[in-house]
Amino acid sequence: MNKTAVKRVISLILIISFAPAASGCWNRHELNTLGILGALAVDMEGEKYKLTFEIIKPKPAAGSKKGGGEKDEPVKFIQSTGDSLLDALRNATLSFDRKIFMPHAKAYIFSEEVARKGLLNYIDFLQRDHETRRTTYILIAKGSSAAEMLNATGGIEDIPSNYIERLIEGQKFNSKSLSIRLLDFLKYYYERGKQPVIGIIQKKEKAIKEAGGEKGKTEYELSVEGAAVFFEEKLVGFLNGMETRGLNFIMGKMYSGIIVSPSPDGEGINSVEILTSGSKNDVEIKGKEAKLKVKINITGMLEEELAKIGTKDPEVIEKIEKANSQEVKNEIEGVIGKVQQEYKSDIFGFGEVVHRKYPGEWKKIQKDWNDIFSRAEVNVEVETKITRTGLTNDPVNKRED
Amino acid sequence: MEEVKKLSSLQIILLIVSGRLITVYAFMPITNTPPANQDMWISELLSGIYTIIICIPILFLSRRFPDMTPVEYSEKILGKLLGKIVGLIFISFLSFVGLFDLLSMSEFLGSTIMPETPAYATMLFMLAACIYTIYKGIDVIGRIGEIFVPFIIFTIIFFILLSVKDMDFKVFLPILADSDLSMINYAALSTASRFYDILILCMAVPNLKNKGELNKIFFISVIVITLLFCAITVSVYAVLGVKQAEHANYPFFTFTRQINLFDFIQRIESINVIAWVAGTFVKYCIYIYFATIGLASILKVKSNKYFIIPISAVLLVIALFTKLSKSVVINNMLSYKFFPKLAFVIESVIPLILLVIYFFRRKSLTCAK
Repeated sequence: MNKTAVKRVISLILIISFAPAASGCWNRHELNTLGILGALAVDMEGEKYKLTFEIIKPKPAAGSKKGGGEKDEPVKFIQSTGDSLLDALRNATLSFDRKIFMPHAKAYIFSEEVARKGLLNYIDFLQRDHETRRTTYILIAKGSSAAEMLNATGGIEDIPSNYIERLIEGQKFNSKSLSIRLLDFLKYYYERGKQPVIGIIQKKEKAIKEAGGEKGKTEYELSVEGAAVFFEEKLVGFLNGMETRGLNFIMGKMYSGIIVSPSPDGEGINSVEILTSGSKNDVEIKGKEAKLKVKINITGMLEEELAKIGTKDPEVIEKIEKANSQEVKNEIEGVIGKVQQEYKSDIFGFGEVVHRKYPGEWKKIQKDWNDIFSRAEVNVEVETKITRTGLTNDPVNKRED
Repeated sequence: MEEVKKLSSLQIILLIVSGRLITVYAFMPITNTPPANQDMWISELLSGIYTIIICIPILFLSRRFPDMTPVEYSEKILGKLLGKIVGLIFISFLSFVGLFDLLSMSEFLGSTIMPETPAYATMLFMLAACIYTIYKGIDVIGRIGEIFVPFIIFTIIFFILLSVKDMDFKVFLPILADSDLSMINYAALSTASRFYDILILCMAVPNLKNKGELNKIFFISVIVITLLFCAITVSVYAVLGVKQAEHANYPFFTFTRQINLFDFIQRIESINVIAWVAGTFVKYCIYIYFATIGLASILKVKSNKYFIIPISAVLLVIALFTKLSKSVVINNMLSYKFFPKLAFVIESVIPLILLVIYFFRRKSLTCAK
């Protein structure tokens, strides 16, 4: 055998031995062996975990629907129990024919009971496993069990988890809820000067029944209004929608929202849409006492004027700006007051401000910070600038006679 | 007669950068080096200066012996027996880096995307490709570096740009308040000690096209590496927060997983793994290549090709059948307690001793081969 022949044989062997590797089929996941998880709900049953999975059904495209009026559900619900989250997850394969595939999960919903026992004690698996993602939203189910949240459909989306995801992402329109991913939750948790907050979800009876719905059957929709307040790893209470908006103002997560304030002259109300909002938080420390300062700058647009006043006048606009600022100020003072009195947990991150401003002092007061925070004096300043007044000048109900 | 193989300056810079970058790309040991707080980027910047100081002795020797590898000139300086022992230390270190590479390969792939693939499969396939490449010689490795390493650097910049909107630079405040200067300097020194890739540069000196550019090559590599490190550290901290990065086994991978731009560019961590595997491949090739070259010169064998398969086989056996292939062991080996100290001895202490002895004997030594 000459040299070139040897070379050819060697390259042939190499090519053949590398071919199977190229297809990468050792750790393969075929689509028809996976149950794609849309959302996961975690409840406790005694000491055991009860997990409810929403599995998205692979279904043919909408065009090729079979005849008949039968409505095909887009998802399947599966429940399993186990001693730990992962155990329950794997136990699901005892009764479900596909392995549950986590990476596409939109939301993890935890029941209030789990959160009160200490959410962080349960979710190690969600960050340790290679299939789960930290970009998944987390929510606390308020009022009813987490599992019940999965089968309410109040939106256009057929798939409940997509519905939930869109609700969370609607935060940027109303600012009365929170969109917190696992990543953000962990980030807040690790920071010493800030306590975690998470979005909540609750079930509400629908005001209007669906057309063609069964008679006498109550239909439900979901609402993500409000927030859950944590102290370290444990849930300590909830905020309502307006309070959550105050929180968003302070955290600088205000993307849009409508502020309704009484009109300067007393009769009627006006609404301002927020275009931009900036916040600047400051803390002054004197010994073991603190003074919290919040400064908010709002740019807005007058969207509704229901009082009979002329909005052509710059002075009137200035008055509306003041009324609007007062409204926001009340909102913010309200939420800080409530959190200080009831929860004693610095969810606003004032501790981080102290850490940055007084690094030396912070080391001493770090441990008592939440006590110091809860008795601190609060000073809120709000400035509104209404830059636009919409397509009309004077409101319709103002008549020149 | 073997043809003279040459590396261009750009090629050797890219090879050095890939070798050093790969560790950070996967493990980012800086997040676990004390003080492990928001000031680590200062340490990173300082580590550039420390790297230059640490590497002065070995660089000086390499300039004096431009036709020899460290293995060869240590024999010249110390005499036959001692010189061979020192040469063997260098070679074992190079092979140890190769072993570590092999281990971290199966470890990283196994932990991140392919937990069910057995270690021997990943290692065997990687070794087959590497051995083939090493047989082809240094110029092929250099050209591979020219293809792969720009891609790796590109992925880093790409990932960082994609997550700019998620960064919160407030995590870096307060600056220099939570850590004192000695700790920052310690972290910088520890990071600088990880620059054992200087050995590659010195081993490659006889193969360089432009030997006069040795200092320039060194400085450019140090600057590129330091800047890239700093960029990676700053962006990982800004997105994950300091503590979350510290708790992550693979901070940069975790960082890549969270990228989500307009719900459109997302789930792109496979690119991270691909770039990393490519870099590990280059790194293994270059280290084992020079280990075999060193071995050949110690044993006075003409070709290094006899040693490629034996060394790789030994490393494979060690990797598979000892207790080394555990995540915990690998992470501990990589931590500031072990690897930087070992590397410091190899890249700085031993060359310093060589340098001192060289000064005493410099009149009786010839610097040519």
